[in-house]
Amino acid sequence: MKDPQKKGWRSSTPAFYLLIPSLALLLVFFVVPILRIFSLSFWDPVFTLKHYLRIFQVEVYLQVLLRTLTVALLVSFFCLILGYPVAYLLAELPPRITNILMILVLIPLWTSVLVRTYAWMVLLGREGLLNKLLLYLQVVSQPLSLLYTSKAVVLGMVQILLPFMILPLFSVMKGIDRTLLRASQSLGAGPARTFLRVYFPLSLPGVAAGFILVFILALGFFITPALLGGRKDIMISMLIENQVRELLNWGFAAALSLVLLLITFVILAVFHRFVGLEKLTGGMKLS
Amino acid sequence: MRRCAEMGQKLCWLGFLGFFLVSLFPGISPGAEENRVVFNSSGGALDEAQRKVFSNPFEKETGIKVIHTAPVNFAKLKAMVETGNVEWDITELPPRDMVRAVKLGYLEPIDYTVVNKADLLPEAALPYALGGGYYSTILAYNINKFPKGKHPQSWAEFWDVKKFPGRRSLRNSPADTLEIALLADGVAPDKLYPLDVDRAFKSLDRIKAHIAVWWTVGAQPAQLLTDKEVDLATSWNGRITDIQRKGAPVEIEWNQGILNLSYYGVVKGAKQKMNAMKYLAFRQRPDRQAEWIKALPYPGASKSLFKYVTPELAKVLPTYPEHLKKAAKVDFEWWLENADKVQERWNAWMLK
Repeated sequence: MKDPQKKGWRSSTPAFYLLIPSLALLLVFFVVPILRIFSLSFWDPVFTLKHYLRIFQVEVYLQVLLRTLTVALLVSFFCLILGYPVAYLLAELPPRITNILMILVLIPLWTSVLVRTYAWMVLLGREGLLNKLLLYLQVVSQPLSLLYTSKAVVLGMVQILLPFMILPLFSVMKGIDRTLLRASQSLGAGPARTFLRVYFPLSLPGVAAGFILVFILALGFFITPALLGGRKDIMISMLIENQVRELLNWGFAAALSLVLLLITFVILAVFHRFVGLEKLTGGMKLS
Repeated sequence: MRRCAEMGQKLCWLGFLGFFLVSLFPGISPGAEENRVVFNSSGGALDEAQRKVFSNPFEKETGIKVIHTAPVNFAKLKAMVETGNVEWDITELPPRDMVRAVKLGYLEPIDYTVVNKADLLPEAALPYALGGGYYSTILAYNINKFPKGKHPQSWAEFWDVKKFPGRRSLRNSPADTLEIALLADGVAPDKLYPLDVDRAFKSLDRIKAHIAVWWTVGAQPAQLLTDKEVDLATSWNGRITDIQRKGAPVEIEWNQGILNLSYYGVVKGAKQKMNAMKYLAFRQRPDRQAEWIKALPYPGASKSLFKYVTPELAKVLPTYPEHLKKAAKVDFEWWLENADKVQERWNAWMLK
């Protein structure tokens, strides 16, 4: 008899069967296409590095990559600033009220990104609601240029991605042991100090998880920057779409996609090194 | 017990492998021509009009069922022809895609024993594609800002920000915009090609700072003009006619419109080739075309069309003889050759 402890996943073979459908799905619709994209980017039709060289030799692609990263970083930052207090409130209130508020957080998730983007166009336009209000209140004498700017892009994306910040924050905050806070206060720390020294550090895994989730989603954003942005608000996914649909350079589009994927992996690796990927799955240690 | 579990595992891996292999090879199903035709177009809001004007009467006349699919997607066409899994019989093709599809051999030759070539304008009756709809990139302006007659009447005047102060919008794409920039710089409409790209970008440099919005999707300029977000914009003519009918104070200047023609092609290996030819021939009939332009002013290439159209309706068509005389025609071959390089330069220019 072998030690059952050492049998690893084989000891849970029946559980493994449950994974088969989703693994098959991933293999066919994720692994195979990615391999195909990989080969597209290197074979055109014989082995070539020209697509990758083009990305690093023609200035515009690196500029757009940098721009994409900057926007994603800004969006994650503002999501955190706005999401943290909301998640805190949700975690502190009695469940009955939390449930109602939670629905308010989730409703936007069930609305199409396109619809929400158009809503921002209605709000921010020169003849839009916001400008009309400001003119009516005589705060401004000329309508402000709000739409078709980088600020509009960040604003729109923050609103769309906010739930992805709030949810992981909330789940981590909910799990914080409240006795620790009482312990801190009984030992003489005031509310501010208790928050800064005890609560905030304990909520950091949620901060990291929310930040990374929003950041990675923002990297691939397409329709919101295209509709709300000005001429300089080009994101990498817009270039990829242009290459696939208009110019039919699938090889080059594949190379651009893989560079984006690689950047995402690098960010995840850095995250894993300093925080741990298991934080993304709700704090359970992966062994 | 363990053996059994292991057997099961092997079986499951086999099944897994089978599934994987099957997924790599799309089905090859030879079939006789069925009594139907699959028509792929942009769909959307116009699909109902397509049915009413073309497909329903065709079904009634021939008994051949027309199945509509959408959207137009060259990548999908490519995949269909390359894998031999052809779902469409006919697909709409934007001009550049048409040239590309013909070069790559993705289309069947048009059967001119079925389609009446004599009634078609020459650029529409190609060996492998049929002109489907003319459309023009025109100058659209708000008549409250610029009363008719006191509006910019050429691209040079669109560029003249002193004489015509106002907020402007151009398309965030080199297509048609480079032509417009050259016309604004004084190039004659019939001397545009090959495009002098350097000169076009120099001309664009002059207007860049005055463009309030760079539009990206076709519905945008009409929306921008309606919302008074801009006073002047380039637009596809049909979008402007549409908002005019809804009462927007917007007018079209047809002078130096950039004339494009989208095509229909029969997909290589289409299962219902003959039905496809019959349906395309039916769509070109001038009486059908005359109905169609009531829904959308993108006429087909029938020469006898204007016999069936009222004078007011004729005037909103890019093929109206008066407008046609003043238009510049796009050279799709040039674009196919140069699109990639020009797009890269365009992106870099946008970021500057």
